[in-house]
Order: sequence, then C-alpha cells, then structure tokens
Amino acid sequence: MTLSKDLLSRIEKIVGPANFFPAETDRICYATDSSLLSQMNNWMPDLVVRVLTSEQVSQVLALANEFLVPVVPRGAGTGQCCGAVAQQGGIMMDLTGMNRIVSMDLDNLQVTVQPGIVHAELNKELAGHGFFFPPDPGSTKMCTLGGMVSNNSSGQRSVKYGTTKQYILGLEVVLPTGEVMVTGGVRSRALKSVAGYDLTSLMVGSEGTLGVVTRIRLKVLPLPERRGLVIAFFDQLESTGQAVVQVFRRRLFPSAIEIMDQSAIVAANLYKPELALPDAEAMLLFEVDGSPPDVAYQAKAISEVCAQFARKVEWTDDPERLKALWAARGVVGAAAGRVKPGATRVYIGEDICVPVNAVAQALRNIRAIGAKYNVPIVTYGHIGDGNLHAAPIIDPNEAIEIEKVKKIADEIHHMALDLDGTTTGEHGVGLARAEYMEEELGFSLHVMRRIKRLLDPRNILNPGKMSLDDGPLPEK
Amino acid sequence: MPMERKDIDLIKELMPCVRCGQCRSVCPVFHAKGVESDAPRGKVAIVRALLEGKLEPTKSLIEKLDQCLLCRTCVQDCPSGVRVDRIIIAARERLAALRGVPLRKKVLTRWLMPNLNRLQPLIALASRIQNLFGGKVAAGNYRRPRFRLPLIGKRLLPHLTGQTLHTLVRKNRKTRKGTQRVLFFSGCMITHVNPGIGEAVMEVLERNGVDVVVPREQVCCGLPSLAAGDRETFEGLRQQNLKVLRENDCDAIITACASCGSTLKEHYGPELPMKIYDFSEFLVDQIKMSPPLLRVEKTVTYHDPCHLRKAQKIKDQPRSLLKRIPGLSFHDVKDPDRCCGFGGTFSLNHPSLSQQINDTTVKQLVETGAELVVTSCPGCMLHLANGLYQCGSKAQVVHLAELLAASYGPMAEDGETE
Ligand SMILES: Cc1cc2nc3c(=O)[nH]c(=O)nc-3n(C[C@H](O)[C@H](O)[C@H](O)COP(=O)(O)OP(=O)(O)OC[C@H]3O[C@@H](n4cnc5c(N)ncnc54)[C@H](O)[C@@H]3O)c2cc1C
Ligand code: SF4
Ligand code: SF4
Repeated sequence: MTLSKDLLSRIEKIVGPANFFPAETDRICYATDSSLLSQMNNWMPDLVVRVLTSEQVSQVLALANEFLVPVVPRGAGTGQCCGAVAQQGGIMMDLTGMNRIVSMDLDNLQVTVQPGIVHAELNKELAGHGFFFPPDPGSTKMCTLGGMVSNNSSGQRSVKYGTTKQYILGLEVVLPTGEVMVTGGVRSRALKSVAGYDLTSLMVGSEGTLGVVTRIRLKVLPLPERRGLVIAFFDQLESTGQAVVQVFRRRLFPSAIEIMDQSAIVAANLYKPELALPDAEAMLLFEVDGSPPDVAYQAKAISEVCAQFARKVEWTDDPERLKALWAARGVVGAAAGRVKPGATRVYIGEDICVPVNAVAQALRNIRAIGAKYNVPIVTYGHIGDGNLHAAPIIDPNEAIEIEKVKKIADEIHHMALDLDGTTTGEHGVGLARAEYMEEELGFSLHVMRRIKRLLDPRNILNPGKMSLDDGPLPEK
Repeated sequence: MPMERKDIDLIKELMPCVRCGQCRSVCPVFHAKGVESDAPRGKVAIVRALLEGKLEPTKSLIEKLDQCLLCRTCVQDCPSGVRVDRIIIAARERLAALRGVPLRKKVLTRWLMPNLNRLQPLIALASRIQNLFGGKVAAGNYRRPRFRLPLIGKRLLPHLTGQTLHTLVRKNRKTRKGTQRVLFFSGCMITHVNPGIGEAVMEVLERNGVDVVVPREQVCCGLPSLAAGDRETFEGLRQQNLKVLRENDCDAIITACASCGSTLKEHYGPELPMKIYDFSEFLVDQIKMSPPLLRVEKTVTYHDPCHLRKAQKIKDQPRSLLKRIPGLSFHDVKDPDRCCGFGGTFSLNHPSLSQQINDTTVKQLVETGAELVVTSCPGCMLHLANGLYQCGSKAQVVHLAELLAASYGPMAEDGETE
C-alpha cells in the first residue's frame, strides 16, 4: 500500500517531524512482535508514527478513516499472537511515548495512567507508596499498560488476583472514526458502577480492533507486607496436579502457583546458573503473600501438603532469592532456546489454558506431541489456573522444522479444545489463533463481527485480526 | 547486499533473538531516544534485514547501527543470550567493507590511536600550549575549553602533564624483588593521558610484593578500531601486542582500563600462556593483600564501567577493595548497571546523545552524596568528570588504584587524590 503524499504530509503535521518515521530502517523494526508468524512474514507498515496526545491519536485516526488506511496501535510489541503487526500495511501507531502517570488517587485506590507506561515502572512507583497493580505478566519489564488492557493480560498471580480486566475502572478510547469516548463514567472516581453497558469490559481484550486506548483508570491494591515462596520438586508430573488440588482443599490460597517441567528447569539454570535448581521431572512454585505470620503459616502448610507428593520441598522469603526466582520464571520462555544449542524457541501454540484438573493430562499430551515430531518442547505456566506455555525449540531456518512446528501448534490447540479448554489463556488471538475462533466461540464470534462493524465501519483499525473480518484468513 | 559465508554465521548469531523486548528495558540509547529502531531488538532486526537483502545500507541505517555504545547492558539481561554487541560489530565490519570506514573514524582509530607512541612529542607539545585552549578545573585534573573545539565542543579535556607512564616509570622506579612478576598493559589513556593512574597501579602492586613491567612497545588494544568495523587495523594492533606480551616472561597480565581488559581477555587471552586480570580482580582473587592503613576520610561511591561489570563480570572486587580502606564511607548507587554514555568514539560521533545518557548516570551518582566517584576505567573517568562538572557538582572522579595508593601511603609525586 502506498500512502499518498497528501496524507503523509498531513500526518507529519499532526505528530511533528520528530515523531514521523517513513524510513524503511524504522519500519522494519515494527514488522514483528514475538510470534513466529510475524517473523515468517515480516509485514512492514508503510509508516510509523509516535503519538504523544489523545488529540493526535484522534486526528490520525480521523484521517486514516477518511483515506481508508489501516492503523495498528502498538505498545512495546511484546505480544505473542501477531496482534501489533500491520499485516495489511498502513500506519503503525507507537504509543510508548504516552507513558505518564496522570494522577494518583490512592485514598480511592486508583491511579490514572497513559497507555505507554511500562508495567514494572508503574509498579515501582506504586510500591514507593505501598500499593501495587496486581496483574503481573512475565514481560513486566517491557510490556505497556495499553498492551495489557488490549490483551487482557495476566500472569503468575492471576490465581489469586485475577486478570487485567478486574482492575480497569474506566478508559479513554479513541474510536476508529476519531471520536473520543470515556467509559466507566466521564467524571467518575467510584470504585464500581453499573451505569450503562459495560463498555470498559468490551474494550479490555479487544486487541486494538475497536479503539485506541489513550488513558486508563485502574484500581490498585495495598502491597502485601511480605511474600514467600515454596518450591517443590517432583518425580512425577501427575503429582503436581494432585499437590495443587490438595493445597486448595486445605483452604490455602497462594498468590501464584507456577509449574516448570524438566526442560524448563534446565533452561532456567542455563539462564541464571546461580539459581542452582536441582534436576526434577517438574517443579512447582507456590507464592504466598500477606502479613509475616500469615506468610509463615501458609508456607508451612503448603510445604506439608507438597511433602506428600514431592521429592524435595524448600521455602524462602529472602527478597533477593525471590526476585531471582521470579525473574528467571518470568522469562524462562524466552530462555527456553538455551536447552538446544544452535536452536531457537518459537512462539506458536504457546498459550493454551485447560481446566486445572486436566493440567497433568495436557502436559502428557504436549510431551507426546513433541515426541511424535521429534521436537523438544519446554513447558511451563500458571498451573493454578491451567494456563500452559509450550515452547517448541527448532531451527527456524529449516523449512521442514517450520512445517513441523505448525503441525505441533495445531495439535496442541485442538488438544486444548478437546479438554474443554481454550487456545489462549492470556496472550490473545491476533492472527496466530484466528483460525480457531469459529470452533471456539461459535455464534458469539458473529456477534463480535457485528460489534466490530458498528464501531469500525470502514475496517481501518487493526484489520484482519481475531477473525473479525469475513475476508480470507492470513496465509500460514 | 549479496550474502557471504560470514553473513550466514551472523544470521545464526542473531537467530536466537525471540523478540521478547526485554532489552528495551535496559538499553541506554533506547531510553534516550525511544523508538524501536534504537532498541537492541530493533538493531538486530535491522542487521537481519540488511543481510537478507530486505534493506539497503542507507545513511539512516548506518547511523542507527553506529548508535550503539557496545556497553552490553542488553547482553547481560538477554534471556536468549544474544550477543548484540558482536552482531553490531560484525555488521559495522560488513558496512565498512562495502563503503569503507568513514574518514572521521579513520583519523582516530587508524591513524591516531595506533600511533600514540610515535606521536608522543606532539602530546608533550600540546601539554605546553594547553593553557591557551582551556583553563584548569575539577581540582586541576581537567581543562575546560575556552571556545568550542572540533568534535569536543565545550566538554572537559584531561589536563596533560607532559609525561607518559614510560617516562614516569623510568624516573621513579627502584628495582625491587617481588614474589611474582606481572606485566601491566596500561593502554592508551593511562600511558599517555593519565599516567598517574598507572603509577598508582604499580605502587599498589609493588606494595603487595608484585614486580611490574610495563613494556614500552605495547600499543592500543585495538577496541576503537574493532568498534569502528575496522578489523584490519584491529588485527594489526593485536598481532603487535601479542608479540610484546609473549616476549615478556610474566606470571600474569594486569589491566586497569576496563575496555582494554575486556578486549584482551576476549581477543588475546586464548592465544596467550598467561592469564589476564583486572587490577581489582588480581588483588582480591589472586594474592593475599596487605591491608592499606592510612585513613581516607571521604564519602565515596563507585561507578561500574560496563566493560568491567558486564563484559568481565567484575563488580564485587572493586567494592571489596573500597571497603578495606580505613575511614572511607561507601554509598552505592541506586542502579549500578547504568552506562556512563562514553563508548569511546561514540561520545565524539554522537555528543548530545552521549551527554544525555551521561546526565542520567551522573544524577544517580550525585544522589549518593559522595565526595569522590571511584571507577576503574579512564574513559568513564573523563566522561563522568565532565558530567559532574557540567551539573555543578563538586564531586571528584578518581581511579580505584589512585585511592588505594593513597591509603597505602603518600604517592610518588604530589600524592593528592582529591
Ligand atoms: C517473555 C514474555 C513473557 C510474557 N509473559 C506474559 C504473561 O505472563 N502474561 C501475559 O498475559 N502475557 C505475557 N506476555 C505477552 C505480552 O507481553 C502481553 O500481551 C503484553 O500485555 C503486551 O503488551 P505490549 O505493550 O507489548 O503490547 P503490544 O504487543 O504492542 O500490543 C498487543 C496488542 O494490543 C494492542 N494495543 C497496544 N497498545 C494499545 C492501545 N494503547 N490501544 C489499543 N490497542 C493497543 C495492539 O494492537 C496488539 O493487538 C509475555 C511476552 C513475552 C515476550
Ligand atoms: S532481550 Fe535478547 S531475545 Fe529479547 S529481544 Fe532483546 S536481543 Fe532479542
Ligand atoms: S550494547 Fe548497550 S547501547 Fe548497544 S544495544 Fe546493547 S544496551 Fe544498547
């Protein structure tokens, strides 16, 4: 797609020359997120702009709507479903420059931020005041709040604290036509409201297809005084599921329950040798938080439960060790490629979520699929809510390996649906999982398409994603 | 651009990048500039596209790849172990092969730096007329240009003493008999610009029963040429140094410049019979040190040079040495991973970017309230001294060796560390 000179010069006027990037050197850097699909296709936008105000967003969208040019909103581009990628060309809108905390209203348990603020930066600032924004993706150091809202991201602590949507009180959204709406009450500072349709929830998780989020009012919680971690090493995969079920039965409520299989343990050790994790079939990390006596009580009780199933159980509340363990767990996926020298971890089929009591079965199935295609798969995830990340390790230069890994992903996705799960627990649909939406969503997908058409009549905002277009699906 | 064998190897090197973006959170250049093409992940994408023929070597592309400090902050944190610095150097070499090394870089890295020994009379001359260009500031260790100088602008320059380390060594050394004999690879800055640091290094080593030789024939370690993509010049310098290092029968090689140290360890080490140590590493890990006894009643902080902390993984040893100095009160910075923004020729080619990065680092150093900023790299020293001076701070920058020498007793000449 070539953008007309007229359009280009009008956009440059809106964002200013310093935030206007027509050069290929800049555009190529926005051709991918972390998905394999984006890497294989390298869809380059025709223009990159950095926006700094809602007005600029609105003006650019109004123009794009007039000229029928696609616009793709983008945060840090850490998404894994090929969401922030301009498959149909057009304008890439980089929102990371809008990264301010607009206001802090901690008495009312809320803060208002711009969408480009990085998750860890927000939580660092909040921690200084004794508060936190609980959803915590492994990509905390890099992902933006706008990306989190749009993907309804979650993370390790979602078992206790839920996902992003539970914390979004209101949004400022620029619609594809350039109109600006504020959801959750134009002036509201209330912590709950049932006035009108819940458009906030409609926007959360809409993956940049319904509007560009330019301001986020979010709920925060008091930071727990202490955190502790119970680490249990198992010889049998099945025992991990049993341990989790028993912990809940004992009326214990960990803030996170994570699983790393044998190869994920190897990858974590290769990334951070100082962790010195012992070899095991699988390892569980139970995080508990609260007051110091409560943390000690819960950690002890969880250790007792785990001792029935695990080979080895240890616990720590040393902040340095906690930090190191979580840091390694957070990016173990990105470090997974280390288990096979010369190979790379690819993000495909990486986000299924199954009922908690089907986790052990899903883990076995993933292993069997890997064995069938002779591809190592590192698996880890949020066992507390059944969300498993499978990381196939291949040489992406080999066409045959790419073919294999596509089949692997397809089998993993179908396996999850067969276990009454979903193809994506937190990373989103984008282009990577669009083809499963008919099967997974049924008639509701058609309702979604109607909503999309209503809000984006000329289909300019992040077109082609989430199977919302009736047009052909992307080539795979 | 046609693909060569070397390019295929380079593609293999960048393949493990999973585009997770973690490097966005640490890269000083990205923090200062803010678009994806400034982030390590973006740079990897650019190199890849260049190799795959999707991008032409345009001016803006060359500029982007030039804007990397090779500080390795991204490498230290990359979950996939991608060596972004190596990728950038290889790409610069490839671009240099296509378009030649730019003249401005060539003057410095091909003609000036490798020939400093021969140019010494000129440096001596410069020391005599330096007063015309700038007056002394920062306790007399630096000079502030009276007018804008080419490349330098108004940034501080080191005060030249007119001596080199070699002349000082000849003048002051007595022959001692130590238990070990080491070779001091002093590097360009210490030899020609800050010989006082070299003296301090020798002083401290000798106090600990270690004999030191400083071969006069040593030349630039070659890092500036390597960073400019000029492999040929680098290789020439490397061979020349290897010959000198091999000829001297020593137990170990000591460096006191973080950049020389990392270059020697990585590019010379495998071909040498003896091991290479940073000054602090040698003192703490290799010998039994006698304690420095004189009190230094100062509050100090430490700046970790990237080529020490990230390239050589040395961060505890300098702190451990500081803590042995009686009277000293040590305050660490909030974020010790910050680059000073110098990056050798980077600071000349991208002065305002380099200064912007420096500002953030200096701010943290000032926040510690330290009177002395201690570090282990003469390059960082120069850039930090400038940053501190420009922001009105009274804090002085010293090399770790200078401070230690002060605590061991009066130094050879004027002995002042402030
Ligand atoms: C190592 C690693 C670990 C991860 N761990 C987790 C995890 O634990 N849990 C989890 O949920 N995810 C995880 N992710 C996925 C990803 O980080 C999240 O989806 C994140 O929220 C995306 O944020 P971003 O700023 O990178 O968004 P991007 O990737 O830039 O965009 C994501 C989507 O949001 C849209 N978008 C972005 N900003 C806006 C806006 N302001 N308005 C409208 N639409 C917008 C884009 O169009 C795109 O569709 C991980 C990723 C990596 C690389
Ligand atoms: S941290 Fe490493 S793997 Fe991740 S994007 Fe940066 S270079 Fe690539
Ligand atoms: S080496 Fe330093 S400047 Fe270069 S990309 Fe990495 S972090 Fe950025």
